[in-house]
Amino acid sequence: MDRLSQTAVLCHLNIDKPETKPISKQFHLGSIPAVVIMEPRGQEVDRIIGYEGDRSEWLKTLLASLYGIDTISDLQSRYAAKSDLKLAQSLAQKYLDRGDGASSLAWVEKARSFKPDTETDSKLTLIQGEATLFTDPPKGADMLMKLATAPGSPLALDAFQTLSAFYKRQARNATSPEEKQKAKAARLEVFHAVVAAQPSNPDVLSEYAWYCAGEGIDLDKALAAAQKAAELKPKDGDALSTLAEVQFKLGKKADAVATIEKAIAFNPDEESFKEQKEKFLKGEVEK
Amino acid sequence: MKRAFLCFLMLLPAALLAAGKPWFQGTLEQAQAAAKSQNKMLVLKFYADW
Repeated sequence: MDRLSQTAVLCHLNIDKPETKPISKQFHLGSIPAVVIMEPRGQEVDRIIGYEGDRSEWLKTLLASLYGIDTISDLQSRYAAKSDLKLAQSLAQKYLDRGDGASSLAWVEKARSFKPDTETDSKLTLIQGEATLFTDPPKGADMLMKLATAPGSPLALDAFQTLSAFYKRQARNATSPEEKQKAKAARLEVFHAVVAAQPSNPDVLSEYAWYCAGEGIDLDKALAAAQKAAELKPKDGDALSTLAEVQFKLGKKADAVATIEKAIAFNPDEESFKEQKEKFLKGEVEK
Repeated sequence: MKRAFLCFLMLLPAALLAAGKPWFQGTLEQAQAAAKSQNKMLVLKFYADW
């Protein structure tokens, strides 16, 4: 990072701080975490959405952006030289990441003109739904809900997470308690609809249970969902971590410790599980 | 040239990982002003508490 700072000024901003909220709106931030790369005079060059995951890969992506590779400008130049489906799809995603729903939708249409296969078309539908959240929120929410609840849909989880994040964002940016409550209720409705439609999807069940634990609501239903998720994915650290969290919120401290120890055994390098265990042992219940 | 850049991309992350985190201390406006005055790119990382 020291060497990177010779090329760029690195600045991190917590969007949960009141003074940062207007900046979040100014940049049309759809998903968090997000990295926005700007040239010295303030023109946006690119943005990277999502968790770092493999840090080495993430840094390569960042460096590519700093050198203008795979940015919107670069992709458009390449598309102008030789148009193809992949470039059009990448541009649809890039504009979506930038919060420019209208441009993203235009590139989805261009991508569709190349007659994509079923899998690519589904991915384009997901981009279309998310982009529509910017241009026509109720319509976008409806599109994503249909994708999230479609039986056997390979993109159900993505659509569900996108919709859930949308209402989470609405709740965070709410300007009144009523508005915040409305967004929270809409999010819970999404969870209920998707859990009903995908009752054997461990990721959906886990997300629902984690949400309930965080909000302190529907804890008995959350326990059932988390237990089922852990049965379906018995060696999955996240599923076990969620079950442990729900057990802890229900006051079952010994169960919570035993469950998180299983998660740690499967994922010995995962620091957050160790922190969770510490929290359980100290008996601090988050509100 | 392309190969040299790819080598650069392959090797730099390891060096970066070994180093510290020299984040700019200040507001967005101050970071933007610093980037402009130093003629450097600006990398803004947005995160949340949850």
